[in-house]
Amino acid sequence: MSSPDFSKRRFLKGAAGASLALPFFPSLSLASDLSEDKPKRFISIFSANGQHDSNWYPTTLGTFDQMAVDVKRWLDDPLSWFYGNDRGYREMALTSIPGPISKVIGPEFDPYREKMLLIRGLDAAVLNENTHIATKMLSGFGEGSPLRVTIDQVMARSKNVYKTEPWMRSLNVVMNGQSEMKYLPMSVARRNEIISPVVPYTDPNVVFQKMFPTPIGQDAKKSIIDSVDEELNQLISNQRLSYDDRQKLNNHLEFMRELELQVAPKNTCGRPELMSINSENEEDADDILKNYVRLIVAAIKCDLCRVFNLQLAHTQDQRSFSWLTGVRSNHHNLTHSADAAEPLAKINRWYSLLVVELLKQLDEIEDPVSGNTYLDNSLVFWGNESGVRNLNFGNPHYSNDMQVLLFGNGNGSLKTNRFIDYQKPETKIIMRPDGGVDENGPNLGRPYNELLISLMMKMGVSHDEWELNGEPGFGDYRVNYKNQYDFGSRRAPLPSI
Amino acid sequence: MKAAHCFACHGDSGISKNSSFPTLAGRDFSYLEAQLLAFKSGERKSEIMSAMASSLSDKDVVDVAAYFSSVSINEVSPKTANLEKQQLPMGEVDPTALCQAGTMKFGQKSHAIKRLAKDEYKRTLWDLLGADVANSLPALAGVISSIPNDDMTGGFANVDWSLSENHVAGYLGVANEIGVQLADDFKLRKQVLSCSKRQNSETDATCIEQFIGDFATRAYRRQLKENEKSSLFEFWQQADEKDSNRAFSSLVSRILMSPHFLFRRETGLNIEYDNCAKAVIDENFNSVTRLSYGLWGTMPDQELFAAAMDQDFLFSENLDNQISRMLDDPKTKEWINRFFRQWLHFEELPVEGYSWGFIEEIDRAHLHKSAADELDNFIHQIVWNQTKGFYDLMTSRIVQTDAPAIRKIYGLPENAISYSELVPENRAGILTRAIKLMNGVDLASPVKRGKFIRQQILCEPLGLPDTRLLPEGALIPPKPDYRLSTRQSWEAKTKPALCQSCHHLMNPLGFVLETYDGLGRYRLNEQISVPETNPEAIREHKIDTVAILNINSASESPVNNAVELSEALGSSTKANQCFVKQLATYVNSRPLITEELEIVRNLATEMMENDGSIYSVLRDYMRHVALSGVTYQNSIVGLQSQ
Repeated sequence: MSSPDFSKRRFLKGAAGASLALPFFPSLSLASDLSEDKPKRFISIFSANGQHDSNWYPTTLGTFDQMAVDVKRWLDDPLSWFYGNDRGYREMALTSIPGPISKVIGPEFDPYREKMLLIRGLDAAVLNENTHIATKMLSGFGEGSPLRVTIDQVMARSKNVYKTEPWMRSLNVVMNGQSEMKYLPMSVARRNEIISPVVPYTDPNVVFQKMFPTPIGQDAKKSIIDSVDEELNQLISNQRLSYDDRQKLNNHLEFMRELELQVAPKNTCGRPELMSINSENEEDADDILKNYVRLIVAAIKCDLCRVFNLQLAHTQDQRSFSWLTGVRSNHHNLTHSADAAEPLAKINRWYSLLVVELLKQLDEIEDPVSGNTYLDNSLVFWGNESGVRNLNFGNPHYSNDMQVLLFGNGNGSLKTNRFIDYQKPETKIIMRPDGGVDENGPNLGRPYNELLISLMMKMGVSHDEWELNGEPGFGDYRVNYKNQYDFGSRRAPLPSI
Repeated sequence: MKAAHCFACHGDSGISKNSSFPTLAGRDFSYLEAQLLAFKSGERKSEIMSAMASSLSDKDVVDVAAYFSSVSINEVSPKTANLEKQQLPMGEVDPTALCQAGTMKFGQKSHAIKRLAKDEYKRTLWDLLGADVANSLPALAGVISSIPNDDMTGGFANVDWSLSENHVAGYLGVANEIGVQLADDFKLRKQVLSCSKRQNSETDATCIEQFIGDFATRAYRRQLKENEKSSLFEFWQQADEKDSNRAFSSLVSRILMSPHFLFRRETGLNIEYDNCAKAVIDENFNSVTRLSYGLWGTMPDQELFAAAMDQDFLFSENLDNQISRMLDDPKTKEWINRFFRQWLHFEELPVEGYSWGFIEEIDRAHLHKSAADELDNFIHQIVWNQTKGFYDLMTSRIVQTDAPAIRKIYGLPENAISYSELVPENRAGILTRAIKLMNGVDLASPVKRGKFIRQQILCEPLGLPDTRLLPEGALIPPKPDYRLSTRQSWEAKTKPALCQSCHHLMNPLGFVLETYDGLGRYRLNEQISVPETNPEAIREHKIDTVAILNINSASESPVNNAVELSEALGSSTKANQCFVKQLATYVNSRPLITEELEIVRNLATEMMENDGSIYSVLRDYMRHVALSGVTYQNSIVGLQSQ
């Protein structure tokens, strides 16, 4: 089954011979230039309701005479690049794909292809009641209750991400919209043994005021916080408080202390100009997200924060996208309708342009010595709460083949310009205890948890920072019918990224 | 594991969360095996269980029975585990230190404090500062909007007790904004400072002391201890030394950031009082605070604070007088109206996506809002009439609306002819009101309607399906098929036994409402077409609303239409108790404890048997709320379990 003769190198060589660019491997080419001290940032971008596979993955690779022979082989013979299940994957250079990568990942992404990694075939094999659970993208769990810690918050509390106390450990923002499940959080932190959601900001203006506060009142704020600190401590020591209430007040105290740090930002560089918006106004959606992008970029340039969570929408988003022609139902409804590929492409393409906006603003030189840009030194992860599949067969809320598109290379830690497919050919995922499979779904891939572990490791986070209860691994390992997935030590990252 | 198929109805590990399905965990092996075999052979009849058991081999039957019989009932679910944790004694309180006065004992509750819900916080600020001052701060509402919205996981926004950095940042933003504006505006300061008529009042220590005694008492909703007063005074002195012009404003901000303002006490946290009188007064303040947040969603007014100063308040006529006064206050009507909007799920209106052909001549402008206003009016007339009960809420035909679109939907004449109008006889109560029937799109969804009734009117949570156990494509709504009515399409779609395990609880309730289309218009027939694929194929189907509701454990007769459905629910003990339970949860701003559930059952029974009114249920329940700090002894009960 495996084809060792068709090595990755050979494929690339063939591709290059057909005027296709070599993938960019900064970990090899730039290793000597990179400074260990350069801060890495992690930016997670969330969009909702899954992706239609024909919109998301490259399907229009061109006609036979337009494409390289090896690309044709890759399409025609799915086994040719498959090495076996344990390390098996196939890959191609993103720069080798003629035309836009896909309907959603359009031509605007072309300048960044060398800094992108598109992954197919990562299955969140989660035990779940319903998969519109935003935290799944970063926690690897599919349940709304109990909440589980997400990787961004592990990073935000890592001594390796922040060697000194930052101005803000993570900046979480969301664009408000219509959703019956908007109360479900995206990001979850552990504080004082309480696992609680990180409530995102819903208004860019509030974030701006937080980052660049009016000088007036700063001293007063500090003295107020100092004074309240004492009062809060007294209340916490009241022995009639329940355990949970006391822990919540402990968190309150911590929040206050963090705010005390924040009242005087270390740096006021890069104060961005924001567009005038009303965060509750649906027609301002484009400007709201652009404002968030500007704020995130400003926070990076000022090194105010290194972990970001940009929620383009709430989970199970029901935005109606009245400004997009041909979109006649809301986003969530469309994913439950057959023949909705076109309107779904329009919606996700609209989101994708916001992602491009972020890439564009981050791709400015940060380190003149290495030539690295802010984007190079960041890990940007665009994901989803649901998987990629052919939605013409409906959206069954499965979490197989999760949407994974990475940008930047985390200061040389990620190999980019690649489209990797971890799916095992001709092997369907067993979905039920009785061995039933999802005939219309994707093929068996690798555990999504491995990606989450990879991302944490690439940010320098060590195992002991997420394995707080001593149990190896991250994410859900409870669903594995017929032992299809090899969870191994549960501590291993995704191979070859 | 075959047993996993049973979890969908009988709960994880066979520990049922729904009274309609028995707990299997811990049952005798022989019993379980015998029942499964009886279902399998047809000896025992059940549409769902027969189908489920028929797919089991004899070995499976043994395995499943062995599994459930081996599960110890003590292997509790996480929620139950949480309950046990909460039942542990809290802290190291010496019971003898608790104040005892006659039969009064100050109980402990698991929710001793709670963050003010966002709406409660805003209302409290307005009352504390005075509406004139609050309204004159142009940016205040915007800063308040930066505080996270409360979520509805507990059923109501005010039940949310989560706390994040953004909450604290929002509170600080508000306190700062008010401080900055006060510092800049002398007139505003005069309005806030009670002794402002004095010369140089802001720098006069006596005046500041007086201000602390007044403003902080109202903000903390209790009398301050001497050390608390002196601490605030010292804060002002230090601020005064730095910048005398801003000291007073800083003091106001400081009080607004106090945990005693941001969190409200449920009941006595102060156990260090050396005499019972002080403790009684302290509990009175807690009591009036519970009353005011329960009925008004805000802090007590001056009259309540004054009442709290009376040691005998809780056992005097004045308690009933105060509750009656509060019930007559417009603030109560507004706050209780929010209860109904959240309970009946019409606080957030559906997105409008009707096609032009469907909506025809109905005016689209403010359509959903007008429909919501109409239901508000209906509820208002039922509740504040003071004689009408839950049965009337479910069945009354009174209507009051000027909105042409809603009048057209109900088939009322263009203009109202009197205040005592009735909707046609084909409607009864809240379930048949336009906003509860409007789906946002042309097709009505009987499943959504049924689920709403099951969960909100009967308090039977259904959970969400485990998608991995469902047949392929199970979550795609049935495509319109001109050969089938909507009901028939859904019946075919949800026929598999696994689907029926939940759908038999939803579908019948929704099918009865099929005489109303996606806009709430009454109809006897429906036209089904598939315009995109077969524009010629249109067929008219007669609506079939006859269904057995499955709302009682005993065998039921079918109901014929929505009016009979409403009457059945209005007369249902389960629905009456559910209503009172939800109302009680809302006015407590938290889930109920065991003693409160007992009160709920008694009040519901009283309402049903003696023609009691919603108004009297609310009044009587608020009396319990007022007294709850002294009548419940050491009640630390699992709130999540209810």
